[in-house]
Amino acid sequence: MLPRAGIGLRAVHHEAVAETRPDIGWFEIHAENYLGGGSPVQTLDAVRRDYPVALHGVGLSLGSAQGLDDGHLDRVAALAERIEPFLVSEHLSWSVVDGRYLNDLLPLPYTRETLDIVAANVGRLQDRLKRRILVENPSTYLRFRASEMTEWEFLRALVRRSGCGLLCDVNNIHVSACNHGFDASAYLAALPAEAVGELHLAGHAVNEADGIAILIDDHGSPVGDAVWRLFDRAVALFPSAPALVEWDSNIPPLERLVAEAWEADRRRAQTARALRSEPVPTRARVA
Amino acid sequence: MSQGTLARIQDEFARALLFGDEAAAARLVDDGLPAAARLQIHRNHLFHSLTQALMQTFATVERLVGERFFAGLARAYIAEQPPRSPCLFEYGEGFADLIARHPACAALPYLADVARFDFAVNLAWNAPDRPAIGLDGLARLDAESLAGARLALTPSLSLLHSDYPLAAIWRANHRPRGEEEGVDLDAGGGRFMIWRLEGEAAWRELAPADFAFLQSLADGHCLGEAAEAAGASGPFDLAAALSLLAGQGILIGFRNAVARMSSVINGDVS
Repeated sequence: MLPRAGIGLRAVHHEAVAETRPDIGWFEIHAENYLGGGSPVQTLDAVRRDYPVALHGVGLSLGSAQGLDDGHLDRVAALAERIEPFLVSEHLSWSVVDGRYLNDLLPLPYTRETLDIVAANVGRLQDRLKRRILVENPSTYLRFRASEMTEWEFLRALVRRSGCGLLCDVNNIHVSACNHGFDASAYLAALPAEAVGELHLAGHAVNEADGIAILIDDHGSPVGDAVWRLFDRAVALFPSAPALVEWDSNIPPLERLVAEAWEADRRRAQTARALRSEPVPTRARVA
Repeated sequence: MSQGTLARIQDEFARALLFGDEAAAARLVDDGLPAAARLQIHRNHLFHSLTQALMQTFATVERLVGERFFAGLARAYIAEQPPRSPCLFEYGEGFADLIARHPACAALPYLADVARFDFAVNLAWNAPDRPAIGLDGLARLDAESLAGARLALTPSLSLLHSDYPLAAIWRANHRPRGEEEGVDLDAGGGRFMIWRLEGEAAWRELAPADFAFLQSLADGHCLGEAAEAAGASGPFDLAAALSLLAGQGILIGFRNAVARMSSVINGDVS
């Protein structure tokens, strides 16, 4: 059976989800939105009774040179214990320094020093949660002079060092590839396939600054055609990784987001059929 | 231990985003779009996304002063007091104090209290869940233990004493646009408790004695002291006050009771 696609659970959809119980595979939640109490947490408990739930951190700051925030780690661990998510993920990024949170997934220089720091932070998170986590490739708008390797080389090394898995965000790959001029398909092909445990899909915006187009990962529109085509390739390379559609600004009615998840299901089925019917190349034919 | 390169970069980056400091730009590859413009993308995101979060929490303030004025206040607050937690529903604790001392708000003396009310409503929606105890939790204590008991109150509770009619201001500004009602600012202030009741934010105006009682309990004083403080503020009925608190889910147990119990079990002598 092919894995069904899920959607990100957002507060504006809480009521519609409770009322309509949409036909989707699963929900993903941002951990930081459910660390209080009251109605958000009640909604989450109700969703959890009916669907598999994945826990997606946006504030653990795996790239912080100062290490993980103990208090926040405890709260995320308690939430994970309560909802028993089938996947846990965070980003290859940082967001806090000296206790000041900058509310963004900020880019990292890809150096051996950064690798040591991220691997130690990932190790600490995995030890605390007693499970493997998935690390997501970021959307980036800038590069550091200090970088010693590409992002995919960094992710491969991180998987080897920490034993983590990867969350492959195909929209982020597309955004970064356009912003920095690399080949998105080559990036996909360079990822260690056995490590990829989840795919993300989202829309992005195209902004123009000083006559130069720059793609911004705003999760504010439908998934773009180029990203769908990249998704088709990702599904062929990582067939068992379930996909998730994210929408975080200009959020549409729930039905629209559900339709986007169904489109991911349709495309996955189409790719699977194409792969089955493709003749397997034999040695004789190659020769 | 000397600071590593990544730690230095992150420190510079934070200063670039919060204050427009230029040191971080020299670290970036400068091709196509200039480094400063690339940093500006993150700077815009920081201020825009946190302004949106504050706008949601302080919806009444935003409605009163308008989006542009609010954005100016938010900008000053974000640079001065960036979030200390990655949970956005927790952001904004110091916003009312900033409003109180911001020169642009000098002509709006009620605005800081409106912000305090908004933040209290936000806390009421989002505070952690704690099971309430009823009056029978107190009934087991003898008179002397009862007077010395320090009650723990729900973390969703805020107490707010204002010279302005906050509930009327809040109601008037949560009506549909175009149907706002006028509020008489001289109608007199009030003492409010704001908390979560059956999953939703609720508030109630309190008599001076009840307010003093609750404030004293919230400050960690024992029941006897709180009753004394209440009596000094006006006519006070302890039994009625306690049954109000228990009936509204305000009481959640005793402070330090667990700590004291465990020290007895472990034989510690303090």
